[in-house]
Amino acid sequence: MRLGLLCGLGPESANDGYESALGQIDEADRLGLDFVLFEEHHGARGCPAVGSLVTAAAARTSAIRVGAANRQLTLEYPTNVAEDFAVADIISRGRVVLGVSPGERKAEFDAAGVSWDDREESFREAVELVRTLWTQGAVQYVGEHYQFPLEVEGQPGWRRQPYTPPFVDQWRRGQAKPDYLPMLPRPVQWPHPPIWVTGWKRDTIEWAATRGLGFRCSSLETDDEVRTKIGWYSDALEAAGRDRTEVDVALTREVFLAADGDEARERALPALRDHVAAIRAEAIDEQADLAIMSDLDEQALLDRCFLVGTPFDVLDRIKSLQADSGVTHLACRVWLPGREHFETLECIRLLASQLHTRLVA
Amino acid sequence: MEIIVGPYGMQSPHPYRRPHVELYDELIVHAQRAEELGFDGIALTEHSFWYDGYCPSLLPTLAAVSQHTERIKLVTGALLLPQHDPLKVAEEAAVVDRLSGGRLVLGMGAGYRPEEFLGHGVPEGRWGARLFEAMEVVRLALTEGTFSFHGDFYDYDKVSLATRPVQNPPPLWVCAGFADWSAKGSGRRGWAYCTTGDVEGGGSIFDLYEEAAIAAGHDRASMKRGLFRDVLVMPSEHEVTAIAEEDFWPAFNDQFLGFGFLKRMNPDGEQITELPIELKDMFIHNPRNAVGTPESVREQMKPVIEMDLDLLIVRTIWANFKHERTLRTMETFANEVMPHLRAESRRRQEQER
Repeated sequence: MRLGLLCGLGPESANDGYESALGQIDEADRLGLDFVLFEEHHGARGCPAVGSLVTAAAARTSAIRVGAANRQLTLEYPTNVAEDFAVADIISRGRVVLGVSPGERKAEFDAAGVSWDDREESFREAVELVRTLWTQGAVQYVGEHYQFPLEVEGQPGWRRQPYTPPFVDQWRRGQAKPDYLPMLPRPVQWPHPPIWVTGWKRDTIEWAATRGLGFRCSSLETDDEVRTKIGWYSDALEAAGRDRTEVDVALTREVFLAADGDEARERALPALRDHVAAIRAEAIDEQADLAIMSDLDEQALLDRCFLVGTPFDVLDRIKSLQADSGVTHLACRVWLPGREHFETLECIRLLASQLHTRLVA
Repeated sequence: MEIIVGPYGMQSPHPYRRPHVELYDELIVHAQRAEELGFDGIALTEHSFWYDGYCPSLLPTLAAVSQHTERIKLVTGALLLPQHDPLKVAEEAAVVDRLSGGRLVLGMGAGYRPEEFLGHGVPEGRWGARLFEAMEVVRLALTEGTFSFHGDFYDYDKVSLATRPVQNPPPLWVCAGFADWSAKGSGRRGWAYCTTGDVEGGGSIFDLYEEAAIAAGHDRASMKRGLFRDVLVMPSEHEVTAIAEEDFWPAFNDQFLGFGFLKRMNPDGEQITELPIELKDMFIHNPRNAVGTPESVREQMKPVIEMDLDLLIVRTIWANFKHERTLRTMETFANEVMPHLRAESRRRQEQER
């Protein structure tokens, strides 16, 4: 199992938070952790421009994978996202992960002037479009929400430019109206950087499996809900004739470690309480039936959602999730607003020294 | 006058194929060298869907540069704004400004290749109108706590950017060629205006800009003038010839037609597919390029000093310029020409006072 970090850098942390977060990532890179993901939000608890954070982190580090946790593709035209992350993949020499999400806050869609109700359909098209742009040369894509290039018509789906003489090279073409375009430069990774879909609806999860995309389970699910959801994903994967070795299954968890279990809980809880309150305040329809939204008390949250305690306390729970569900990547949210930089660093060092080798092996 | 080096496009064209990872690594080397040499900033340029992998994402690239430099300004020259979501650009600009400690300079242009608009889901036509509207959205988003904007192309209602830039706001520039509409439009709106100069490379376009600005009631002091200028400067004649013949001309021969500026037909009525060789001398030696040894370039830059610029973007690189040679040009310019430019422009300022 691969072990990494998840950072939600909101405006509350923009002043000094970027600097400390990048310092934490330097440390994670130095200690050999496997990846770091940035959470996108356009208000509290997330960065509005994850692409730039990813390239900044990539430029400072040498081995750790860097990526987005929940890039909300439909908030802008997906071509721009494909370009940003292709460049990030180049700058990082092939260390990018693109986590994508159909949308998590209605207010963000309203502000951007994007339809909230159509988010699921347009999201699926956007993912297909990004993957097409990343893997094909001159290509066109026809969908209901997106066309590439704009105004092309035809059957839904993508197709390559046919070779029909007289062929005019792109660099000779000048100002012609195109039917096919190549997105360039293309990413370094082959066939493309991993795409991890975050979603709560069974539909979304099964669609991701059918399309051979990775799945990232959010930190909102209890351990049992994680097992159920990854179960849906695995079944759909099998039904589609795909193999688990093709894909990544990531799990997100709030993590806080200390040498003493009681001390860990005591130090972790204040920030976690605020975090849960914020999550509950903005739950969307897809998340409404999750246990965390209603009836979990603090002890239950500690037992079934968060990974808080000594490294050995949490190791068993992680191993059991690994055994039951085949989780391949564990994204740990270590930093939360209000938590000190040095506490976070210490926790990252414990992750690396106490858990990493045991889980990677 | 701030002197910026660039703009870099990270291209890998036919005459000089390079892996993109190397080009982006070299960008960081060049940015660090520019910082050592005393340039005020480094600029990037963007295009999309161009065959040589022209950089399509400036702000993420500048975020990477920001982590390896400390002082120099990070300039987009130009970000083709109508091909992006303006609100997204504002958010990204705020984050890059944070990451760089307030070093972002946001130059924005319209773009002119129809395929770039269509590839980003933007209908053809009215590029200038789109640019100015989108710039207003970016300005509002970066300066106002909460803003509403209702235009022909963009519509926002009570939106606020939670993550704020360090600078309030980062300098915003219109980056344009020499079309009249850009000078007049920038002047009318009171935007800082960066241009390639008029058709002859001269400063007459700034008159147009100022006329429009004054007519619209803007203060003369608030008007900012920027210029892109090609500079091929090397310590010896021999090296100047090498860079002009081996780098500059092949770059134009390979790139120019694709940008659609040259509408010429072959005798058979087809659009030309090769640059006519008789144009070669015109491309290399014209008033828009300063070509030669330091002494001669200092002479050729005289009209530039007289333009009283606030921003000078010194173009030392085109698509296929060799890494080592570009560094050498940058060094020669910084050591032999830049001190002279700074001293002369200071002297002019003092005279005016």
